[in-house]
Amino acid sequence: MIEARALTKRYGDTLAVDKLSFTVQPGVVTGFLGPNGAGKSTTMRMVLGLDAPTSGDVTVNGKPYAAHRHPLHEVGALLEARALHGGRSAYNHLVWVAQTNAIKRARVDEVLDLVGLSEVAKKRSGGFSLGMGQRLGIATALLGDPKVLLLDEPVNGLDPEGILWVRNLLKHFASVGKTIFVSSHLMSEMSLMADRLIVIGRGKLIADASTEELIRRAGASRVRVRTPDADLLLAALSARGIEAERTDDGGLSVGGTTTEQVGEIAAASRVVLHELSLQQASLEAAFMELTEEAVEYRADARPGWEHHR
Amino acid sequence: MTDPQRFRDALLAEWTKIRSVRSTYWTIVVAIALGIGLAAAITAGYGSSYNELDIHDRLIFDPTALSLAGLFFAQLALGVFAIVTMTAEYSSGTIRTTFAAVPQRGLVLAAKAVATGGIALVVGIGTAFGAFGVGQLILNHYGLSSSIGSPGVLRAIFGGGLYIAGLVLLALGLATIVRHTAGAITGLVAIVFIIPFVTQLLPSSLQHNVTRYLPANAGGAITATVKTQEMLGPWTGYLVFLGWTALFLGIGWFLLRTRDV
Repeated sequence: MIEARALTKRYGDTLAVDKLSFTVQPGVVTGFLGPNGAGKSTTMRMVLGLDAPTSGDVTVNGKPYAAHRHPLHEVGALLEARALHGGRSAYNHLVWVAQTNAIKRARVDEVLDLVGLSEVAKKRSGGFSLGMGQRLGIATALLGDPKVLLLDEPVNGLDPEGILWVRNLLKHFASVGKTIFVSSHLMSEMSLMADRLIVIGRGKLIADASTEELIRRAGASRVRVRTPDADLLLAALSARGIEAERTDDGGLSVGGTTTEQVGEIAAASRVVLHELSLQQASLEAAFMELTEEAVEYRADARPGWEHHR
Repeated sequence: MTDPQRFRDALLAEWTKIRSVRSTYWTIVVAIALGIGLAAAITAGYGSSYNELDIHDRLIFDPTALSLAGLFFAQLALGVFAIVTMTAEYSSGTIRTTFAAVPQRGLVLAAKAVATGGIALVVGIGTAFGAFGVGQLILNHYGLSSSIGSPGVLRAIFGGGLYIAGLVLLALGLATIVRHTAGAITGLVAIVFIIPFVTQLLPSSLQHNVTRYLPANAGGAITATVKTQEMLGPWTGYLVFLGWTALFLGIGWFLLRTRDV
């Protein structure tokens, strides 16, 4: 469980994170969504005690991160995939991380196996692809068998197979009761991975709800109908208080209903249907709408301040 | 800071980091080569031109210190080694992994100090013995050598190792403050070579009171067996030197605790 209370981070004149309060629950995958520069990475660094909040506080499993004696057993984190010394082998990288928290050597082989890097474990990580770097980063996060996983853009640079692997891995860990907090700037990716979404823009909380609800709230899906008896169906729909409009190609676009309901109304009115389909609003469009203000801000923001050191 | 188990774990991890990168090995090889190689070159040079030295220079002729002079260049290689143990973490980003794993940042700095200082002490003493042996072998040709049993000689040799270890800790402190490899190396070169050189341009009265308290000059006094006016005594000098080291490490420690990474 991660609990942030009025978490705030200011860099000079820039409010990177602005009174952010949220709770990340165990047992589900919680997505942390926002455009680049929204303050996701800064927030994650504050969770890990790497950056000190200007005000507010955040706890992990009931305590500030640094108060845990063996923090890697509490939280496993992936911040940047390429945070590796290029001259050091994957194996030795994991060994030193394990030693800091008195983690047994056998666990290193275990996580290497889990992420599929056993074959290249003794090679210098400087030669790794971005995808292999991500896998090593995930292996590092898993070392302490932590109750909480905190991953910043974990699917960046992964091929489709790798993305699927991460998605299933996180769902599995959530199903066994771990707390999963994973950031992304891609709504489509989050919709497949996360059960809950915390959406931020300009460092402020925009939404904190289930993924389903957010998609519904933002996207308002519509039903598309093609029929030779458009007038008849329009009349039947409006008689039941359902809003519908003609589209340019001669079809109908029906709002606030389901395909089932439209089909039943058509049957009752003896209207022939040539097409009946659900038009899912584009997730990216929904996301853009949610974070519109933040995106406008991004256009005139100084670039790169999210990675401020 | 008060948890010995956590310190032991942090030290083990630092040891693994150090032994698992190549730069460690070649900085140590370069240090040993410079320390012993320059001992040969410097003693040969002085030995062959001893007869041309004036009486003052002959009076302060110190065969032990001369054979250990190469350590002043070896210190640079080991200083770079210590700097990189800190700055490579910042340039690669592993510093975040390190501090997430060990949030007690002072513990990390202490572990790095013990690991790099320990290695520098061993390499420094070994190099000092090698340099002394080679240097005296060459000076013996000119009938100028000293022996290991002579007054102050053992202290000077072990002092060479102590000096290198202290210098490495100073470099680590500097690296912790600066956080960039090139910047920290430039700083180290300035402290060890440039600033002592520049102070020689000061008026002599001022020079006397400034130069000998500078880190390299104060610390280097421990490798001398013939005391000159310009130098502090060996242990006084070393204490002053340790003061500098503590100052750099202390500032580094303070900044490390308060800065975001």
